[in-house]
Amino acid sequence: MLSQDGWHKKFLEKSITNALNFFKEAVFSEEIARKKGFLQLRDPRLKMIIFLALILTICFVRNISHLIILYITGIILAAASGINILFFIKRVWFFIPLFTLFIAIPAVFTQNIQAAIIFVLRVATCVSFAVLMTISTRHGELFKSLKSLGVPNIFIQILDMTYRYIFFFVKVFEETHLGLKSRLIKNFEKKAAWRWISSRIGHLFKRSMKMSEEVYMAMVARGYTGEFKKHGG
Amino acid sequence: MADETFGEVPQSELLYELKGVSYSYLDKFSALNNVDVSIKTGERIALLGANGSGKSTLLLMLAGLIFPSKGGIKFLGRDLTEGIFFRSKVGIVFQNPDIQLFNSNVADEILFGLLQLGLPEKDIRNRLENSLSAMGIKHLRDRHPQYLSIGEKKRVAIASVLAMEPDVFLLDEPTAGLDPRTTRHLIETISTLSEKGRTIITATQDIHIVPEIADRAIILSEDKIVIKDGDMRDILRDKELLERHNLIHSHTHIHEGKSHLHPHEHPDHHHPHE
Repeated sequence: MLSQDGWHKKFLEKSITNALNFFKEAVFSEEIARKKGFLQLRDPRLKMIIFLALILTICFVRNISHLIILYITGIILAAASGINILFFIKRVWFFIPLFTLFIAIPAVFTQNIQAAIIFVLRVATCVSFAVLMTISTRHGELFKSLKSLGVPNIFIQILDMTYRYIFFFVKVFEETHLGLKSRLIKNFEKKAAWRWISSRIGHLFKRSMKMSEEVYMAMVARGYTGEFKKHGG
Repeated sequence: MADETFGEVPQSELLYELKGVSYSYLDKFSALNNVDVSIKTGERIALLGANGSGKSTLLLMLAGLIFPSKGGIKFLGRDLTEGIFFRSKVGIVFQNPDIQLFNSNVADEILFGLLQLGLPEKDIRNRLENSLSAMGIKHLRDRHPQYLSIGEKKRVAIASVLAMEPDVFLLDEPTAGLDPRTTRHLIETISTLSEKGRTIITATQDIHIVPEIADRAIILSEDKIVIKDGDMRDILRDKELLERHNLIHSHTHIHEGKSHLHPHEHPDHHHPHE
């Protein structure tokens, strides 16, 4: 299962490190939110209302050039907020395949290429604004503005916990990878590398199931009975 | 520690009564076997045993988070049932603080239990401040748990239980992974709570801390049964018993050029040599 050339080891190493770094930078870093750019200085509630309205509007735009203008507006806003344009574009397009590929591909095969382009552009523009909102606002502020806009407490708490434990498991995965690296003398073959990754994903899944049970117990132990009680109520 | 926070508790009342308690996971894997134990209010008890001896299972049961497959538990003379009364009386600190820190900042974490209890706003504020200062974590109040060290996480987990002012504290391996200063702080916190009449039940493998946090020790064997229940000093003196149950181990040392074999406390570090 071991090969002499360094390519596969590098492949495993690079894919894991890149994915983890990108994930940490893109989802968890508050570095951009702490800058004093154009978007960071706006009231988070106002920002949220305007961005929600924009996203809703984008969903109904059927004109490609209008969509392009909106997309460019997003990029200009990013630049005005001290966000690295390349990072921003990469981050937006990182998520696009997840949402669009499977939906847009049938459209391409049924010859309706224009519809597919509109669809992809629409998603890209929507994601751009959603990303702008989240990276220019600190997480605490984001959750607070959701609360002040009347989003039920339970949704916010679930979002909050999801965020918290995704971060936790990213760290666990990173440590597991370091543990493997420290014991890896020769190089991994591609197949073995994939096998390792899939076994770790399975392990993480099992661990997260167990942890969710324990977290639930910890909540029950402090009086949780199925309802998040709000402050002052 | 803010003394005024923790009022006195009446002593010598029968708190827990466990009769023939067994527990098995998925009806297959036995985790606890036929346990008979009585616990009085205000007692300080150490639950000792190697990994997998059922200490944590017993603690979860005392916390009313899992229930016996066989046998029964009485709490203050009544069958143990869940409910806000019970939750306000019994607090548990889990071994892994990450499962206990599920809120987005330290203050919210401490507020969680207080809000669930439905306390008045003024009490909530007071308790938050008192528990933050009791654990020396006032400066961490706005911090997200992911940016805390393990010692800080543990302090927050304890503060979140402390704030609820329970009469009974259940602690699962409280010193695991902690630096000496945090361990010391924790032991002092336990002593203060105990002086105020709180019942403290600690599951641990760290024999060093037992003389400071317990008067009574219960040893669980690898067969998940109670093998010994008695005075902490008598039990700690019985090196053969401790060694048999994997709580200390013998190994060779070299002192001034000579090697000799003697028992060593489990699992690690420092032991005094005269």
